[in-house]
This record gives sequence, C-alpha cells and structure tokens, in this order.
Amino acid sequence: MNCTKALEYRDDYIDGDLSQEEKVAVREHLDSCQQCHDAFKRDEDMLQALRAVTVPAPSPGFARRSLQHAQSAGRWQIPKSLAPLLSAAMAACLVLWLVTGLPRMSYQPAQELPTAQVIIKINEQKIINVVVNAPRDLLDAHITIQLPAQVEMVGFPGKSEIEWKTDLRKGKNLLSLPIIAKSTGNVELVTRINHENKSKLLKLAMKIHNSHATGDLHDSKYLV
Amino acid sequence: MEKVISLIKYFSQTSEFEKILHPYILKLYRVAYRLCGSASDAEDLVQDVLVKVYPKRQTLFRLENPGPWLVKVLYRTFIDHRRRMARSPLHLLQNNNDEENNSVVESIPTENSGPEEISENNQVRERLMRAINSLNLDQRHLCILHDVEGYTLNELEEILNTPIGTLKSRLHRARASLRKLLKHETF
Repeated sequence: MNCTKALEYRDDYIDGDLSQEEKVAVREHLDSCQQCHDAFKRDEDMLQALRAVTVPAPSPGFARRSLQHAQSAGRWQIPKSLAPLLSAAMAACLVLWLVTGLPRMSYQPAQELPTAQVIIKINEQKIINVVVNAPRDLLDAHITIQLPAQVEMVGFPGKSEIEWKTDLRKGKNLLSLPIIAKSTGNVELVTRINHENKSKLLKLAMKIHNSHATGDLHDSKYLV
Repeated sequence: MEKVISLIKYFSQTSEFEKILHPYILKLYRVAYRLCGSASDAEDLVQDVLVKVYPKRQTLFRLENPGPWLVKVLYRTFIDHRRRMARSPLHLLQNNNDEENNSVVESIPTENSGPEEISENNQVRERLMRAINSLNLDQRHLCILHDVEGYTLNELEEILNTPIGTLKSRLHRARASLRKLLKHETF
C-alpha cells in the first residue's frame, strides 16, 4: 500500500469501516511510513481534543425542573377516552365555584411604558430600531405593530396592522421597523408584545412635518 | 370502573416518564449546548423537547433505546426554531453588541447577568470551536453528533433523515476542512 492509498482510507480507518484485509494493509503501511503514521496520529489527537471540549453545567436543578415543567405543561392534555370522566369532576368543581364566588382573574392588563418621540419628514424613509430587553427566552411571543394612517411600513403597503409570532431571546432583541411617512401630523406608532398572559405596550410619538426629504434610508433610535 | 383504572394508570405513567427520561436529560443538554452555543438556549431547547415528548410517552415507553429518538426530536426542534427566527417578517435579531448609545425599550424588567469568564486555559478550546463553527451547518451538525457526541452513522441516518452515503461523504469533507483549519494546532 502506498501513502496516497493509505491517506484515502484514513476516515474509514478512524470509523472502523475497513475490511479486515484493508485494516491490516493500512497498519503495515503505518508501521513503515513515519509521515503517514504522524498524520493518522494527528487525526486521533484532533478527534480526542474535540470530544474533550467541555460543556458548562446546566443551572442547578435543571433536570428536575425540566421534567416537572413537561409534565405540568401536558397535565391537562388527557386522552380523549378519559375526558368525560374528568369533565364531570371538573363540572362539579365549577358549580361549587359559582356558588362560593368567582376566582380573581389572572389576566394582567397591558403595561404601558412612557412614550418616546421621533421627528420625521414627509416621504422620508426611516428605520426605527426598537431594542427589546428580555430577562429570559420568551418563546412564541406575539408582536403587533399598529401604524397610524399617516405612516406605512416599507414592504407592507396599505397595512395598518402587522403582526407575527416569534421567539424573543434572553438579552437584547433588535426589532428594525422600516417606515415611511405619507402625510403630516402628530401621530403614534404602537408596538404590542404579548407573551402568555403578559402584555407590554410601547408607544412612539411621531411628529411628521412637511420639509422635503432626500429619500435616504437612515436609522433612528428612540428613547423610552 | 374500567375508566377509573385507566385514570390511575394515566397518572402513574407520569412517574414512568420521569424514570425513563431522567438518565437522558444531561446528554440532551450537552447536545443542545453544542448545537446552540449557549447554556440558556440549550436549557430552553431541552425543555421544549420534553414538553413535546410528554404527550408521546407511549412511544417512548416502547423503545429499547430512546436515546437516538430523543436526539432526533431535539435536532428537529432546534432546526424548527432556527427556521422560525429566519422567517420573521421583520428583522428581529439577537443583538448583544455594544449598544450603549442605543435607546433601550424595557419591555420586561431585566436581570443583570455578569459576563462569562473565559479562562486562559480555554484557548485551544476556543480554536477548536472556531474551527467547527466555520464549517457549513450540515457539516457542523454532523461533526458534533458523530465525532463529538459519538452517534453512529446508522443512528444519524434516522436522526438527520439523510442517507448514510451522503452522511459519510459529508463527514469526510468536514474532517478534511478541520484538518486544514487546525494544521498548526498542537493537541
């Protein structure tokens, strides 16, 4: 076996995918060729080093918490055949509730933040950057942008409301809103973020005035 | 009476679920960390997987070796998350750069977390991770699951839903790239 052939076999050799005959031939070559021996040794070392890269430990109690969370999330997903049995039990509880008094609603009204302000010229395209700081991952957050009549989102002509679901990651999430002002006025752009039973309203006051713009797209940041 | 017994059996399955899953949680977390690159993302991914798997626990109970099946669910969930983030109609980014001059809208009160300490001893680790991260996504994931985490190509055929022949050539190309990138490295 020559060096070219031996090196062709190097990955299959690592993975134990060679026939007995091929394996023996490779080993005999490695015994007699220092260069190939070193190359194969290096492969071994590289893979060992990759395997040895440590992973930081998860937060304390992670395993127990995750299992409990999975079970409580699925707790009321009962098999259909058992539903009537549980429904009857639940109905009985509900009747009791009605008799003794309704529980407090757990829904939280939207929390509003102080309004930020931006000045924009008519026909001027602007990118409004909203930085949303989340203390933890918020999966499946529902975001709604409500536009005043005087403003349009670039790429969404004629739409006064744009909404979508996304995951907000722990830390700073940058929401870039490309807008263009179509007519003058003092207006408000509202961003609503819903997650589970919590809601936040972010209002941006916009003063649109009449001076002609160059039409350049540039960023604007706003402070709340 | 039959239904009452079924109800008891239903609730006893939850402890069976814990018993079977518990040995796999840290392994799943490790794979999740290697895919996501962050401990909190990895924890969230594993939690999502367990929530997904719980209603399918009957399938889980029937498996002799649930490991590869769990990793398959984890990998698919990871890919789904990535696709959803990419599909957002507006450009929603994770932006942890220096944004001191940017205005911040505090949607929910923040927690202060201190910066991660990077030990000097992790320099080789950093270079290895940089090399892996410079591979294309398919090669990177395959490398992580096969070379680092030790799943066989047979298992990966199922996990990644890709024929073995394709996986093999992809793996060999990935290793060739790593050899080039790490040629000056001493292990």
